Formats: sequence, structure tokens, C-alpha cells
Amino acid sequence: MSNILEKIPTFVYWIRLLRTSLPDLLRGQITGAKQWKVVLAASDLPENVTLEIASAVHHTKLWPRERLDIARELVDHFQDAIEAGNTPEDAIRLFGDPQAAAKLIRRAKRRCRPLWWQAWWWISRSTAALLGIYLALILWLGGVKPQVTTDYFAVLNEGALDAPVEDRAWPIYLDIARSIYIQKNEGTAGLADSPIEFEWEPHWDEMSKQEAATWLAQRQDLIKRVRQAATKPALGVQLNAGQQVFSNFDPVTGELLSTAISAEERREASLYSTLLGHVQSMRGYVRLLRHDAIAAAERGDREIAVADIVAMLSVSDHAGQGGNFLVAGLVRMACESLAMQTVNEVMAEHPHLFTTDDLATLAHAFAAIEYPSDCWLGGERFAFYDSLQRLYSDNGDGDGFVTAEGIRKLQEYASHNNIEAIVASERSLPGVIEATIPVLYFAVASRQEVREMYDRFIMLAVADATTPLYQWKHRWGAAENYLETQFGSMDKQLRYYPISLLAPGITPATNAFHRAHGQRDGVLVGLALELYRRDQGNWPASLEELSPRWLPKIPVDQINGGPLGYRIIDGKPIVYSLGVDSDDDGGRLPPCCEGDIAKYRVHSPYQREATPHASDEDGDWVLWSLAPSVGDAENVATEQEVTTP
Amino acid sequence: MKLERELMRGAGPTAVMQILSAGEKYGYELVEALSSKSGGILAMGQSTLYPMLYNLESKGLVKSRIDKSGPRARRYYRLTSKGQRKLANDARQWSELFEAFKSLDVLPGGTAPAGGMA
Repeated sequence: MSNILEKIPTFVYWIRLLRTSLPDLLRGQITGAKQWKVVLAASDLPENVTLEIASAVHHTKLWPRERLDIARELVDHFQDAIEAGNTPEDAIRLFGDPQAAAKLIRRAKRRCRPLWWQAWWWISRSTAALLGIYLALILWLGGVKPQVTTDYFAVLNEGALDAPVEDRAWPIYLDIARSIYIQKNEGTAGLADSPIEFEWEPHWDEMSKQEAATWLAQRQDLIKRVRQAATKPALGVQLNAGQQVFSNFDPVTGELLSTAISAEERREASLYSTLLGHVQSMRGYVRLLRHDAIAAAERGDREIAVADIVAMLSVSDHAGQGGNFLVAGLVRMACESLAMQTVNEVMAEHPHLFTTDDLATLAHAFAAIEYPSDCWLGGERFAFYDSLQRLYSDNGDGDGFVTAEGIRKLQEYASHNNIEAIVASERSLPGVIEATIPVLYFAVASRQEVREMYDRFIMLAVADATTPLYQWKHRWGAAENYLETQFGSMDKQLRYYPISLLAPGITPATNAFHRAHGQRDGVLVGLALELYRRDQGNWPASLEELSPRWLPKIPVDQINGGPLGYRIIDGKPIVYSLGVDSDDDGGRLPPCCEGDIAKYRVHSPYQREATPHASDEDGDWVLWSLAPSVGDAENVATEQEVTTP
Repeated sequence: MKLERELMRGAGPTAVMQILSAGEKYGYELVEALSSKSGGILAMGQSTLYPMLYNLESKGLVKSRIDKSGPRARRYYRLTSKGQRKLANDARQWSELFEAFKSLDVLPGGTAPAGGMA
């Protein structure tokens, strides 16, 4: 018996422990579950009163400890009320509605809870509200799809087929490609591999002049057809997505396999998917003509040499007509540069080859080169607008927000069409991008804002290309400066992600634009010098003597804005820009060129001294030289008579 | 006459604090005091007293303790120093309110010009 009595407190404790709810245990309180009912049951109040109290306490839905306190207090209240002479029914009536009381008690008691609970309550409710709003945003924003409303392929191709069929070069190029393809794959059973640029050109640098001449002699039919294509004023082709025409021929019949894509595929494809493989093929034709011109000059065939050089310019122009894209423009300028280089080399090697009429023909051909006012950025602009309509929603006013589908497309663009990366992104958990859309809605700039920023960027790029280098106010151009200042930081790169990802590398393009102008000036001056010399019997004392008879207007230095440098070295003229260091080095190339004119880096002289490679640019940009070796100009000057008019 | 609920919402806490300023009291005692000392005007539903006390306690204006010395344990409420300051402030505001009502002739003893309310 005494043993049992000793164990009762422990026994009661364990009972209480077992009857304590888990939340109370976690709070370190051993309250005993439903302890408040025990209190009610232990009171001597009438049943109707205890039921009233029980109803009130139960509906408070408070913590057990709180309910216990309230139950005790209400028991006291009703006991006092009855002791004061009220009947239980009066006491109940005077007390009021227990459920209304429970509501008020609950609200008040929760205000008494500790600070950590208050904080948790507000944070959890706020979080739940925010989550709710976030989910609603996901449902609303995630369901919005981009609307492709403008067919930018049609815009790009506008006017492409305006020229009559007989004035289009494309059918001839296609025929040339077919014959090359068939010849390459002759004897191949079944469909051959279809490389994007099937190799038909020899490795010119590895061939001797004799080998090159032999190779060319065996392909005169091909060269004649290229010259024939060059006579056509227009390229005459419409671009399309996924069109790669030079590798889709049946190797047996030579028939062009269909490259047509369905209207649905066309709607799905963006302008960035336009393939311009034919542009690179034309570069091959230009190299073909160059080497043929050199071979013709070697054997004294001036007519072919002139025809080839003029054809080089025409084929270059065709390359530039390929969609008005920047890459097409760059290829065109590179091809024209080859033509200029060819003229210079031929005249240096064979000073008596061309007649005066030949020189005039060449001068007119080079003078006729025109550069588009938008510097081949028109196609880039259309491609960007096309991307915007595939990335963003459309509110009908030209504005919208980036969509989940748009984010996926940006992932594709970022992977540079890497198949593995695309497949990996497609395997990512569905809905992950949709879940981030509300964040991106605020993080990524709107469609209108992105478009405005991009338009400004293009405007600055066009201005860079059309503003002389010596008038630039930024080292790498206003467009590059704009990119750096507007999109240099991480948050801005995210905000204007489409621009960060899709804006073309402008600096090389705008510099190429100025290089092309400078080189053309050099060729025109060079041809004019030769015409002067043949007419007057000697080189002019200064370039001003060429104007206006041999050259309507004397060009200025593209880099410095001053007069071009002009010297006679060993009886041969050299025309040059003073270069980015604005220092007359007598036509000596800087060390960075390693003797190769093509390696001269054309850029603005603005703040040149601040660049790390300033000393490496000490030299001149040679535009035209009949001297034996431009790299040895300085050495020649020390050994032989140099006249500086 | 009992006060309307909206009026009681503002007057009730002040009345409770005033009663507690005389000394600590338990719940039913407060109910009786409110009714008897105000002539029944400030008699509130008994179920609203306890939430009011809990609210006052959460604001630190009153404090409660359990007294187990009597025949049964009771929870007593007393006014804190903060509650005393609040009571004084409320009393001043009510006084100003009454003066304003007097001026408007809402209450008798006002100084409004003859002819009724301006």
C-alpha cells in the first residue's frame, strides 16, 4: 500500500504526460490533453452551465494551456454569478452567446501570445498570401503565349525578286553549285553526305603559281559561269529558314531537293535560323576569280584579269545582298578587299599590263561601290524584332512581357543551337520555367523597353559606321560604349537579356566599314596615280594634283581626317593613312601587322594612348603600294632615293 | 439605458481601467461594479468583459494574477502604471469631448449662441 501511494504522484505525472498534446510537449509544457474538460467536470456547476462554458472554450480553438486558463476563469465567473443569487439560466443569459464570446476571446488571447508567435503568424500569413499571389501570377502569366504577327521573312525578302529572271544571278549560282556537287559526289551510291560548305576549292596557299594555273585551266567553264553570274545586277533569291541550298542536290540526277518548309514551320522558325551558306560560297567564287586574275596577269591576258577583278566586285555585291545581314556585309567587304588587294598586286607585279582604258574601267568599278546607309544592320534589326515577337507577349500596343516559351527560346539561342544543350534543356523539369515567370516579369524589361534600347543601340552603331573615326567620342564607338554602360552590370544584363544575348558584335563591323572606305580610297588614289603617271610621265608631287581630272575629290585620312600620306619609294608610290597614332612613319607598317597590310587594326584614335597595345600600333595604315615590299619600306628608304613630294 | 455598442467600444476599456484604479478585482466583481456604479449604463455583455481584459493585458495596461488563498483560486486584475497613464489620458480626452459637446449644445450647460446649433 505504501508503495502504491508513493507511486501515485509519478503515476499521475505520467498520465498527464501521456494526455499532453504534442504542441504543448514541444513547448515544454505538460498541460495534459483536454485538461480543461477535467476542470469543467470537477466543478460543481449545473450541466447546462458547464455545457455553455464548454461550448465557449471549445470554439476558441486556442492552445490547450490557454483553454485551461479560460475554462478556469469562466468556471469562477459562473460560480460567482450563481453565488450572487442568479439562477444558472440567468447567468447563462447574462453571459451571452458563447460562440461570439469564443471569437472575441480567441482574438484577444492571441494578442497575448509571445512575440515569436506574433512574428511567425504574420510571416506565415504574409508568405501564404504572397505564395497565393505568386501562384495566381504563374497561372496568369504562364499561360500567355507569344503571338507571331509579322512575317519578317516577307519583310526581309521584300524586293528580292523584283528584278526580272534574266537579271538574277541566283539561278546561275545554283547551277554552278549543282555541277560542283555532282562532280564531287560522282560515283557515290545513294545520298551523299551533305556538308554545309562542301569543299571544292583547293588550298590556294599551298599551291605554287604553276599548280594554281593548271588547276584553273581545267575549270575555265566554271570560271566563265561565275563571270556570267557576276554580270547580273541582282542576286534574286528569297531567304528562308533552314534553307541550305548548296547541299541538297540529288547526287545522281542533280535535281535540287526540296527545301521548302511548311507554313507552320516557317511560323516557328525565327529570322536567326536563316542560313546564309551561299554567302560563304560566294567568297569562294571571289577567291577563284582572284587567282584566275593573277594567273591571267602572269600570262599577260589583261582582258581576263580586268574581267575577273570587275566580276569580283559584282560577286561581292551579291554576297552583300544576302538578307542585309551583318555577316553578309562583312563577307562583302572582305571580298571587295580581296579585289582591291588583287589590283594592287597585279599592278605591282605587272605595271604595264593594264591599258589606260583598263585602269579607267577598274576605277569606275571601284568608285561605283556603294555602302548601305544602315551598314547591313537592317537585317539584324528585323531578326531582333522577329525574336521579340517570339519571346514576348503582345498587348496590341507593341508592348508585352517575356513568356515561358520565350525563356526557352532564349536558352536555345544561348546554347548557340548546341543540340546537346537543347536536349538537356528540354529534359529539365516541366514547369520550372513557368514557376519563375512572375520573377522574370519584373526582372526582365518589357518588350517596348527592350525594343527602344535596341533601336538606340542600332542607331548608335549606324552613326559609328557613318561618322569618321576621328570624330568618335568613345574608344570603341558609341554603340559599344552604350552596351557597356547600359548592360555592363549583371542586373542589367538580366534585365535586358535579349539584347545582351542577341545584339551583334558591332565594333568589328563598324571598324570593317571604315576599313572598306579607306581601302577603296587607297585603290582609287592608286589608279589615279597610275593614270596621272601615264599621262604626265611622272608621279605627281602631291595628291592634290590628281584632282579633278584623275580623281574628282581627294579623299582624307579615314582615321585622322587629315591628308593622306604619299611617298615615292624606289620610283614607286605608296599611299597611306597616318594610322591611329597620327604619326607619319613614311608608310611603315606597325609591328603588330608583321608585314601584312591586312592585319592593320583600324579603329578610332580616341584615347589611343590609354590602350595597352599603343606602342604596338606605331606605324601607318598602307592603302596602296607599288613598292617592292611594304614591310621593308623603311629599309628601302635608307638604301635608295626616296622622294617625299 | 445601455450604451450603443460602438460607443461602448470606446468607453468600456476606460470604465474598466477606472474601476481597477481603485484596486484589483476579479472578473465577476468587475461586471457587478460596472453595472452598479454606472447605473447600468456601462453594463456590458459579460462575455465581452473577458476579451476586453485580455486585450488590456496584451497591451500591458492591466496585469493578472491567480490568487489561491481563498476557497477557490481566482484570477485578479490590476491596473499597471502604464494603464494609469493611459487612464489619465483617456479621462482627459473624454473631458475635452464632453466640453466640445457642451459647446455644441449636445450636452446641457453649453455656451452656444441662442438659436440652437451653429
